[in-house]
Amino acid sequence: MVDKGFDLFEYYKLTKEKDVLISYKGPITNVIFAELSRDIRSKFDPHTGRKIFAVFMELIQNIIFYSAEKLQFEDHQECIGSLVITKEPDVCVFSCGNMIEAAYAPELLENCKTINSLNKDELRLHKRQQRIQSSPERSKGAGIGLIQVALTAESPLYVEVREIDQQYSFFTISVKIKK
Amino acid sequence: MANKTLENLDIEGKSSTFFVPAVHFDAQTGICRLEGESYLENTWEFYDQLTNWLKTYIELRKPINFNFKLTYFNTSSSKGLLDILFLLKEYEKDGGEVIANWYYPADDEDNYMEAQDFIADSELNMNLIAY
Repeated sequence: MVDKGFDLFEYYKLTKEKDVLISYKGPITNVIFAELSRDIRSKFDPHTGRKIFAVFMELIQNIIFYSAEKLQFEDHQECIGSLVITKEPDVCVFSCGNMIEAAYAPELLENCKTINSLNKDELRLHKRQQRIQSSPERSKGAGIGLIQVALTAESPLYVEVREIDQQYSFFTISVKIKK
Repeated sequence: MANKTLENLDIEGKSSTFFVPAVHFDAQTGICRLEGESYLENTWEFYDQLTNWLKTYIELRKPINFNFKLTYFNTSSSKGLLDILFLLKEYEKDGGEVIANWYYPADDEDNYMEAQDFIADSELNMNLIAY
């Protein structure tokens, strides 16, 4: 081997050791997104498949709406994000990561903290309130994606923000879904 | 007032990169169906199309029978769905004859819960029908 470069074997070993089902880093294009989501849904029984699919869709849309890292193509740009799905005996773990503007970090963490402090009925109410308040101008979504993720998965959101530099941070979110 | 003519609104459902729900809004009978999965490239544009049609239909003062049968919709779409429900409720308050049915898969409690929350938000008395 001439140059070590990226060590695929190390990468393979790590993903094997952690029971990784899917690992992706790159532009989140609609084509990749649609194929992956359908594939994932079809791998489970309808009930679990529906939940996994709904969580997957909202997490991916979260990357598309908020990633601060873009890849320029000839006529358009795509958001860069990372996605890892691992399996544990009773659960699937979805983890998504993307760069965000550091300025958004406190609000994002606060939102997740609020979500994690609520029970199911409170989450439903919180979602309804946020949905009514959201306006189309503010964001591309209804601003309730992460609330929906917690509701559908019926488990807390594990979030982390790591500083990259003064302007950017790396945001990761993980959620477990019962198989 | 001149008679308004309103065409049916028909949109073919698609499940490719995006998921487009099937739309069949009948201007003669007032029977409207919205079915399938909703994850769209331009959510606002899509739902504006539906609410604009409904606004025109409502001006005709005819009965409306609206049927939702959605197996998946993302949170952005849920905002569009709520806009439809608000319109229907407003028409009902204004004396319009409105029937709204929400069909959900019998084993999908998340879908059922969404429908309950839509009822709470819009105050429109939808019939929840398991299939």
